[in-house]
Amino acid sequence: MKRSIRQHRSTKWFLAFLTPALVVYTLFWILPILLTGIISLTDWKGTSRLATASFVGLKNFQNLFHDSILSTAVINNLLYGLVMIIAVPVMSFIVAYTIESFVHKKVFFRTVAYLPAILPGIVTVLLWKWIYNPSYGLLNQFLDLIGLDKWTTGWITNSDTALGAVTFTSIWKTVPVYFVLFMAGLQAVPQDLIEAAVLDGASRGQTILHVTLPSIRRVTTIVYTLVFIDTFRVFELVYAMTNGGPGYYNTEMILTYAYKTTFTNSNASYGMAISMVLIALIIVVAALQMKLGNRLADD
Amino acid sequence: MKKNAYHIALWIFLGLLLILTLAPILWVLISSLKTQGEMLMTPWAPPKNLLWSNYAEAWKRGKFLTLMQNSITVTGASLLLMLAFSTMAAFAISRYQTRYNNVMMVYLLVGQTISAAMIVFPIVLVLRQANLNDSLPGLILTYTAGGIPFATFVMQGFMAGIPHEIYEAAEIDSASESRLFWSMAIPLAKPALATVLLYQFMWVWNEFPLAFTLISTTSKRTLIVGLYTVVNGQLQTNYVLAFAGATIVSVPIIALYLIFQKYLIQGLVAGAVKG
Repeated sequence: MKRSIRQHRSTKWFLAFLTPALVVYTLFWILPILLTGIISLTDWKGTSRLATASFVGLKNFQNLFHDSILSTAVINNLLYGLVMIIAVPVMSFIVAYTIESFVHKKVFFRTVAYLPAILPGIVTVLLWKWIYNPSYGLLNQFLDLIGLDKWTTGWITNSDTALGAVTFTSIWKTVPVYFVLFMAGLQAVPQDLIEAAVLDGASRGQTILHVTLPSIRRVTTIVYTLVFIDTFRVFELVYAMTNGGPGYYNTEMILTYAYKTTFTNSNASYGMAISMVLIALIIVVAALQMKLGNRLADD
Repeated sequence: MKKNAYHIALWIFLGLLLILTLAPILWVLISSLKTQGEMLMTPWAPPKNLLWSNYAEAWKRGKFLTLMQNSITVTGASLLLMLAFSTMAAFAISRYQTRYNNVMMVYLLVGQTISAAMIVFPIVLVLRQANLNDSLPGLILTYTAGGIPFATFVMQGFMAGIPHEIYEAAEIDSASESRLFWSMAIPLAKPALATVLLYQFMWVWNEFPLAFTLISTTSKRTLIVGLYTVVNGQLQTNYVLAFAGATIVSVPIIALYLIFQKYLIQGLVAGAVKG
């Protein structure tokens, strides 16, 4: 009897504490996601009143398959993503492990190495646009200095190098974000496990492979998932650095294309269809990760 | 012998890491104190005279006073609302066992993973309906909403680790639920609050797509959007002033980071990572 009263009271308080967050989050974040889905099923351009639009079913989604600019953006995005998913987690782990091995200056190295993640994206873009500048850029000056002057080019105005240059900048800014996660993971590895392995005569490589990596696989799964999801969230870096150019959409990404379709080309319903595919993909991946993560935790 | 070689390799690696990280940032700082000619002709040399006047001029030409005021208002208000609402939500989820707990977590996860640029157009529509378009309150509510999932997850992860006995002891003294929240949960969760504050401050202060799209009036822009506009307009060919502007925008966030940096990992270990 007493128990059921207490249960009731709990639900009441549960809702009371939850309501402010729930209201704001639903109105200004979830409702826009639902609207994205709804608008993607109409022929609304976004310029007239919404009431004038009519439902066209999945027509916008069918058109996705006949859009050559979109396929260019998808290919760019996948190439970019492939490099990121190969490079970022491994480099982040190496940075984390190296800093963690330095007992004395750990905080100093961590603090400095994280700086690129702190820097506003727009500042990062401004900085790297200058590093890549054809006539005065640091990169070309450096290549001149070491005698590789035949490699100098306008790194983000040359269509052969633009995507690579954007990707490199993204790695510079992203590795700091994730080495911190690995450091958090490494600090949770039981020290006695490592000491036991060393006592048993395991080499450093063996210890990493058989003790460290298995102990942090929860973090590793999270990092791989986040890097994968980030791939499809890439926006301001490209928008501000190259705006999808140079030439024929050489660095266009799926999300920058969706944004331009909606705002610049005034084709809201089609832009929303592209966004909707990204949203669906990301939610599915996040859900899978959560399932997988829970399974790992149960082991 | 082998140990020494390993240490030398470590030092070389860390040295390279430092150069790659710091050199571009220091280069911006040094260039912002040079004349344009110096910057272009001798990029590696220190400035002959420290031209602090670059900062005064960038500040004036970029109208940084208004921008700074807007950014401080938006960041301050968003963080206040976000932290208050998320802490309450995290307390609810970690303290009460109802059948909605898991539904709530999944509901928050849906919004956590997507990015603002994907839904900024419908956000404009919602704000227009609420008469909040092109206004700082509209931007503030949007940041609050978008920041709630991450903030709640980290706080919840931390609060779940608070032993039940602590609350039970207070219950015996017949403390009310709101007392438990104010005088027990919040003080205990301070490290997580600091972590959330650091990460969300970084997000709101640096955020571009929402601030760029939701605000169209020049005098209501945030620092980031103002910087983006001025370096692509008035200061497009005036690199030293552009770099001075970039430094002005970055200093507050770097200062906050240096003060709070120990919480970068501390709150995460309990929350997102161990989960």
